[in-house]
Amino acid sequence: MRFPIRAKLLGALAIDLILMMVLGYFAVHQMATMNERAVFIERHTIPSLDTVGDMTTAINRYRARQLEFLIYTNNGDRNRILDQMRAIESEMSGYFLTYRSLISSPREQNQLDAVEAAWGEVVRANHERFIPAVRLVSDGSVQPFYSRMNPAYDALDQAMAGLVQENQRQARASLDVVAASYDTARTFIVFDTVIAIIISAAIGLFLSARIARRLRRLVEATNRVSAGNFVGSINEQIRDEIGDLARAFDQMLASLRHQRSELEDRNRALQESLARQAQLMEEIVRGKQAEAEAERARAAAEAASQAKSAFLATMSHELRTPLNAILGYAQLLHLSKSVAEPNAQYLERILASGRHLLTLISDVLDFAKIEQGALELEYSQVHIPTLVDELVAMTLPLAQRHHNQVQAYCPAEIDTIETDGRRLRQVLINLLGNAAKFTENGTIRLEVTSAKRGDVAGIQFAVIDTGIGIPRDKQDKLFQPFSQIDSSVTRRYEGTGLGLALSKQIVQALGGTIEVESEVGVGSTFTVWLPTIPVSTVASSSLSSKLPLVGEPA
Amino acid sequence: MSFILVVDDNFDNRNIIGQMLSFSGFKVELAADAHTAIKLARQHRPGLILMDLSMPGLDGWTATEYIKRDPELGQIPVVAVSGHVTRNDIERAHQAGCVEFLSKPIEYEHLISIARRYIQ
Repeated sequence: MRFPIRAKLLGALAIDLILMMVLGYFAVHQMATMNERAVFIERHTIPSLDTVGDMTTAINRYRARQLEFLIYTNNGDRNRILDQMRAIESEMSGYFLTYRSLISSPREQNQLDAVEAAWGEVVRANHERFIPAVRLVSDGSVQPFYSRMNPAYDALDQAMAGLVQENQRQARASLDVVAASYDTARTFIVFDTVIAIIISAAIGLFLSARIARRLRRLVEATNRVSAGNFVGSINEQIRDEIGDLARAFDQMLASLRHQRSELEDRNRALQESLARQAQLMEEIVRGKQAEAEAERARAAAEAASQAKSAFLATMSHELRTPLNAILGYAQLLHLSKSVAEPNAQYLERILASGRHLLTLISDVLDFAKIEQGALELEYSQVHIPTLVDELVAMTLPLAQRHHNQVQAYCPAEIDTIETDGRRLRQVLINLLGNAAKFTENGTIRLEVTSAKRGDVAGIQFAVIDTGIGIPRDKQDKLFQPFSQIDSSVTRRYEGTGLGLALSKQIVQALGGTIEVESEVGVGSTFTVWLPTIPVSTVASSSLSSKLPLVGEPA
Repeated sequence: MSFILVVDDNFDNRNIIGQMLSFSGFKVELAADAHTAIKLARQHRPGLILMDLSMPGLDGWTATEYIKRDPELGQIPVVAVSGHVTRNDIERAHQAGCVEFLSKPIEYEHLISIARRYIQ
């Protein structure tokens, strides 16, 4: 229920007003009654009593005239008095007439009728008995006649007394009514006023106490809030202005709570974010330091690598220069044919050893490059039949030295592939050279065929010899650096011991494989397979840089 | 028959190449540095120049470049002869204008086959 405070105050005022109006109405009503009685007294009782007084005076005068009539003996005086008597009689008739208009009750009417009857008896007795009797005697002894009038007068007095009594009774009754009205009015006014005061006071006190209490709760809540305590609420049920204020306050409180919790959340989030940022910053700094260290390490490694490369290149050059002199002069001696046996043979050994040393230098350089991931592949279109012809031509001198035949098989469909021609040539020369070295009075055969490995189209180079062969248990180590079957072999047959390991690394860099099949005393077959779809430069370079190329188990 | 100009700062190298060519019947002139080589080339117009690459002073790559740009000498084929056999060295030699690259140590047969290709 929604009753604004103003409505409550107006309601209290209205109760007071209604009480005042009832009081006023009642007071007016009582006053009217009192006024009515007063008017009655003024209009009826006072004129009645006046008339009664006049009538008493007239009666007394009438009696006095009877005395005078006794006293006077001459007829003149007697007749004058008789006239006077008649005047009084008519005066009395006037009084009776007057009184009749003032009669207010049947009882008064009866009393007046009794008075009029008694008066009529007095007048009749006077005219019928007293006056005739007095006129007869006229000796002055009037006493008996006058006394004979007494009973009539007594009756009249009695009747008059009754009328007066009736008037008095009426006046008293009116006064009683006025007094009662006054008492009632006074009681009512006092009662009404007290009630109004009590009700007003009660309502006022109730309202003010209630408002004060509610305001106090608001003030307490406000103090709590200003002290920073947002817990709880006023929870006002009454729907008026204070209720609205309290609800608004509760809403504000809820909003404050919400905002504060949100603020706390945000603050927490901010702190976490700051912590994260600090952590991140630290990590970044650490990362930067690590990065810088890594960069320094990388730069150092690169510098070391470059220095190594430069060193190797320089060493290669520096070794080649004296080797050039040795081989050059040995060749010149050989050409001159001026060296006799056995020195000519020694010269051959010098040349062979010098050439061996040269191969060794080249292989070491290549191996170092592979180790550094610096083996650069150079893809181009390689015409395989031409390559085969060149290989045969290059192998022929060495093969013939051991009385070997060289055969090549390259079907017509084999044409051009995309690969690093120089490296492929290096691998195949190495294989053919080995075959020529380890075969005597036999055949060295190069077979080229198309061969798929899984889904990948490829080309296969098989180098088949009828040489000494390789024991099975040694085949595994074949592609490891410096793993010629034994040192005696190394001594007997020229070889760096790096050739096959290098070949394997190169073939792998080209995306292919190298395998061996061999039987001691029957011969060996080395098979190189390459995909005809070339490994891209990026892929091969990453491959070559990632592979642990040296010392990898075959 | 026109002669071959051999340029090398190392006496042994110069001597060996010269002897090998002479042995095969080529006429040879020797120069120990690039400046002398260019002077000789101007005077005698060799049919082939065998140019060492790494030499003190004017190096072989620069000398070859110079010769190739020269309107009088530009036609003379230059073959690089070097112990520097890295791909980078070989590429630089070709860029400078060398027609062939002969690696040290010199193989007699290889040398002669190249010489025969340019000198009849």
